[in-house]
This record gives sequence, structure tokens and C-alpha cells, in this order.
Amino acid sequence: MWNAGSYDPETNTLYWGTGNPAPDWNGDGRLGDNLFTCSLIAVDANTGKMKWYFQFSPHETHDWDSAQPPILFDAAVKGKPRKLVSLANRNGFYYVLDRTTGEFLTGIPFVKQTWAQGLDAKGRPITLPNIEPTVEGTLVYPAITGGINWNSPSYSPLTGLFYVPAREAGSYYIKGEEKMAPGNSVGMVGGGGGGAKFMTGDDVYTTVRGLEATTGRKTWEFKMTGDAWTGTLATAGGLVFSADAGSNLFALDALTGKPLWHLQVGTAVRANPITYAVDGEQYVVAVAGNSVFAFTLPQVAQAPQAPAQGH
Amino acid sequence: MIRIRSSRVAALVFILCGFGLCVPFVAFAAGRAPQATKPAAAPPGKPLFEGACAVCHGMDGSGGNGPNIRHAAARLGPNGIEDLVKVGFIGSGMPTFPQLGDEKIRQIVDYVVSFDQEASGTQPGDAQKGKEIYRSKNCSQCHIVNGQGGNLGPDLTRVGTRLSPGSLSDAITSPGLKLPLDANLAERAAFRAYLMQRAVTKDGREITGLRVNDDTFSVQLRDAGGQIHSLRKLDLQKLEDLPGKSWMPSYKDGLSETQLNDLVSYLAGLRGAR
Ligand code: HEC
Ligand code: HEC
Repeated sequence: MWNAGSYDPETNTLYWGTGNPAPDWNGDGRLGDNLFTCSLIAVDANTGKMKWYFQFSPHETHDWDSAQPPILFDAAVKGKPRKLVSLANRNGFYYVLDRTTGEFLTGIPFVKQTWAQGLDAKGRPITLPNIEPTVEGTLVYPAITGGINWNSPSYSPLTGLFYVPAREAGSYYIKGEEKMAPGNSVGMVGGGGGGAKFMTGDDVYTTVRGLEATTGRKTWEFKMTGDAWTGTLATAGGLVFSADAGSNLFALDALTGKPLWHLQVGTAVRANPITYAVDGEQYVVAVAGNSVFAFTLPQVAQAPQAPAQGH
Repeated sequence: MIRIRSSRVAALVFILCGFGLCVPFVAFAAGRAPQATKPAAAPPGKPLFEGACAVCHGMDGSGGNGPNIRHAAARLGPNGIEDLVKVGFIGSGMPTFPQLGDEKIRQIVDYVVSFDQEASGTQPGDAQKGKEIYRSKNCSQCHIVNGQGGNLGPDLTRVGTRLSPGSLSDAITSPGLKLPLDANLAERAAFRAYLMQRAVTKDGREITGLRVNDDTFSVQLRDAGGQIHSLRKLDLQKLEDLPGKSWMPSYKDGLSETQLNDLVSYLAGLRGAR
């Protein structure tokens, strides 16, 4: 585990996504599903006992861990109100589960993927042939950095949309020789049994997408140039904040994805923007490089807003 | 052994790539330039190639256990081949040859480049005459060589290390056929430089130009007169790529075969100051 989980106070449950098995790109020495890797795990917050698990990518070999932050929300599915947890997975699929039981409800791709024909009724991937890493390299979508990575998505109960920072790319996955041995660290540092070559060029891009949260259906997308690594923030004012690879912090219309505002902050924004209120005044804050940028709306009858900036 | 070592190199590159700071393996890196192609009776690279490479690529480079590399220079450029021979090809049967040393590697590279020259039908010409043609055709209106010239097109000071004779000939007779890659963009090294685009603003203005920059909210196009137009994407009703279009005129009909060979020889010898 290397990313944030979520907590549901109502049921006193913690939800965490787990990492991928090692060696990353060579599964020969670890046959089977490799439980509980690439899974979402529901844990009783008092006892630490596992309530349920759902494995997204059994026997994973592309470094697509499932550590992406799970989002908890309540919505009607087929007319029935349900307690849900959704996760946009590094493997390129968007999943919706019942968060009380772990039951699989929906899963569809939110980026181009070429490794699975689809998911079966229980949410297990039906994998395609010739997707395994090879010595020469196998081209598979999504890229090794995933359809999404550690950058958080967000959800707005106002729109019913799930805002995912999505990456469109593939990689050449390479298989190497790597054996697990006591005292050997595996994964990125130890070798990981292979690696990957990136695709580059204009065909590789990042977007913010508004997905219908209960189905994963795309309602809009906002296309960015370059390789963005910022999560999204949805606000009650009907905005979605994020940033692109070119250091533009921006706000989109949460319903349509139309850009409404942007500011060139001059350095990379790789943390999620956040929002909070102090004495009734709401702030939006983003960290860029070693600076913190804080924004608030101008007082009524005051001249154009000046962003407050501090270190 | 080689395989195990390659896997570690691959993983190392993964680390570099992990956070988006990625450089492709076989980049058109600005490494050291190979020696000028000298069409001698027995090129020094020939016996070296036959000893070190022919077992996989065949005596004439047309393939065997390894792929046909007679056109490899057109795609990789001399520097790309040099890098490949120095670091090998991760995860494939192509070994590294560090023991040969820089000098011999460059001789082999020149020999591999000469396959492409044969394959493309270009003959070694007279570089001195080529230089004269470059001057009389006013190529420097758009190109810089050693700091002199206009900059509508790419700087050609080191073009001989980037392009093989076959590709040079193509660039002159069919501009826009293969858009040059901009090797200076670290994050997305294969961003298509010199792409032409056509923008139509919401109020109906039309601008066709060379894309000099593209970001999420704006695009900058350089028109035929060299003027830069900065456009907000929100103000555009259309922005389309014009692949294959170039500001460079084709010299297909303006040059005889001999003149073309001379010009190619001149350009192939442009390998920058060492
Ligand atoms: C043991 C076999 C072997 C030897 C020896 C060998 N190669 Fe290769 N070479 C390969 C293989 C296999 C590939 C294909 C790599 C791939 O695409 O995965 C390759 C690829 C290449 C390519 C790239 C071809 C392309 O179009 O991408 C070049 C150029 C090349 N080799 C040059 C050389 C030179 C020069 C030598 C001698 C110094 C050499 N090779 C020796 C096996 C070999
Ligand atoms: C009106 C401007 C213009 C003139 C005149 C011009 N070029 Fe170009 N040239 C370009 C542009 C723009 C490109 C890049 C797009 C392309 O490849 O077509 C280019 C590309 C090239 C390339 C490929 C460079 C690379 O790095 O890939 C070569 C070689 C070249 N020109 C040679 C010449 C020669 C030789 C002449 C004179 C006979 C000439 N050019 C005249 C504009 C010009």
C-alpha cells in the first residue's frame, strides 16, 4: 500500500487499495491470483479484521497496482439506493462496488486499454492473448504509469459525476529475469523482472474526464497537452479544479467540462488542489513547486481579485 | 548474462520514467558525431562489420538472425546507430560492443549508413559543389549552418549526424514527408516539431503556420513571413493538423541528379564543431 485509503464513519470501515505483486513484469515464479494484491480491501476500523476484498487484476504483470484512492458515495443503482465505493484503476477500468458487501456492480474502461476483452459478471477481467511482457517488449495500453496513477479523482453529489485525471498512452512491456531471494528488494529498485518503454509523441495525452459515477459512462472530457500529474477537486460551487503539465491551474464547469478560469503558476502542480472555509470565507489552495497559492473570491464591490501567495 | 543485465537497465529506466521524466531508449541523442563518410575503395568499417555484425545481420546487412538493417540509417540516423551499438537494444538479441572502442564503432556506423545510401540510390557527390548549390539555391533563407541563416526551418549545423544520405535526399525532394523530431523537449521527446497547423478563429480569421508551441490553453503558429500568432484555443472554432505540408519548397525538379548528390554530400558532412 502506498496511497491514501478512505474511511466510512457510518459503517466504521476503512478502504484501501493494494499494490501489485513482485517481480513486477515476470509472473513465472508466482503462479495463481496472488491474493490480495491489486485489490480493494475493506477493514473493520476497530479490529483490523478484513470484511471483504475485491481483486481487480489477478496475477498482475504490468505494474498496474490498485492503490488509487477509493471514493465513497451513495446513489441509486437500478432504482435502488445503495452505498457505493468506486475506483478508477491504473489498469484502465472504472469500477463500482457495493461498499457494504464488496459486490461488483459495474466496470468499464475509462481510457484505451488493449489487455482485456471485458469483465465477467463478477468483475474478473477476461484477458486477451499476447498481452504478457516479453523479452522484445509487448505494446499494451494503458501505459506503465496507468490510466490513472496516484493523483486523486473526485466526486460531486451535485452532478453525480466522477472526475478522473486520465492518461491516454501505451507502453512496451519487457520481461526480464528476476527471482525472489531473501534480502533482495524487488520492484523498482531491485529490478522487478523487466521494465517498460514509453510511447511518446502527440498521441500520448492526459485529460480530465467527467464520468457518470454509477455507470462510468463518459459525459465530457477536457484535453490537456503533456503529461499531467494533478488530481481533481470538485466543489459545491459547481467547479472542478486541476492543473496541466504546463503549470496551468484551472477550473472547469463541473457539468460540462468547459474551462472557466486558468492561471499560469510557473511551476509544476503535482498535488491535489484543496478547499476549505475560515470565518465564512472559502479558499482554494494549490501547492506548486515550493509555493502555496491560495485563492478566494473578491469582497463585493472590490476591484479584480489578487491571488494571495505565500511560502 | 546479457539478458539479466538488460533487465536491470530496463528497470532503471523505469525509475527515470516513473514520474513522467522520461527519455526514450534510442533517442536521437546529440552524441559524438561519426567521422565523415569517405567513399574509399575499402571502407574501414567493412571488415569490422563483417566480423562483429554480419553473423546476425548478414554480410550486406540484409538480415539473418537479426533484422535487415539496410534502411536502418534512414530511421535512426548515424547517432542513433552509434548509440544502439554502444548500449545494445534492451530486451532483444542485439548485444553491446563497448570493447570495440569509439573509433571502430564510428567506422562501423559509417559503413551501415552507406547501405542506406545505396538503397536510396544516392551516390557520394562532391561536397564542395554541394556547398555552392546550397548557396545559390538560397537555402540559408530558412536554415542556419554554423550560426548563419534564417530559422524558419531546422538548424542544419549537425544535420549529418541526424540524417542519413537517403533521408537528406528525401528531405530535399519531398519536404514534410518526415517531420523532424525535436530532440530538445525532455518531457515528450517525440513531439512533432515543424508540424503545420491551420487555425480558424470564431470570428472567421484563418491562420496557417508552423506550430512553435502548443499548450492546453493556447497555440503559437508561425506564418510564412516568420510572424508568430499567439491564439487562445477558446477563441478558435477549428485547429487542424496539416501533415505533409511544409514551408520548404520541393527541389525535386529544380536539381539534376548530380546536383542532388552533391548537395546531399555537403549536408552529410555537416557534423558540427567537435
Ligand atoms: C547476436 C546477434 C546480433 C549481433 C551480433 C548484432 N546485432 Fe544488431 N540487432 C540484433 C537484433 C536481434 C536486433 C533487433 C532488435 C529489436 O528490434 O528488438 C538488432 C537491431 C539492430 C539495429 C536496429 C535495426 C532497426 O531497424 O531498428 C541496428 C542498426 C543494428 N542492430 C546494428 C548492428 C551492428 C552495427 C552490429 C555490429 C556492431 C550488430 N547490430 C550486431 C542482433 C544482433
Ligand atoms: C522557405 C523556407 C525553406 C527553404 C528555402 C528551404 N527549407 Fe529546408 N526546411 C524548411 C522547413 C520548414 C523544414 C522542416 C519541415 C520539413 O521537413 O519539411 C525544412 C527541412 C529541411 C531538412 C530536414 C532537416 C531535419 O532536421 O530533418 C533539410 C535537410 C533541408 N530542409 C534542406 C534544405 C535545403 C538543402 C534547402 C535548399 C535547397 C532548403 N532546405 C530550403 C524550410 C525551408
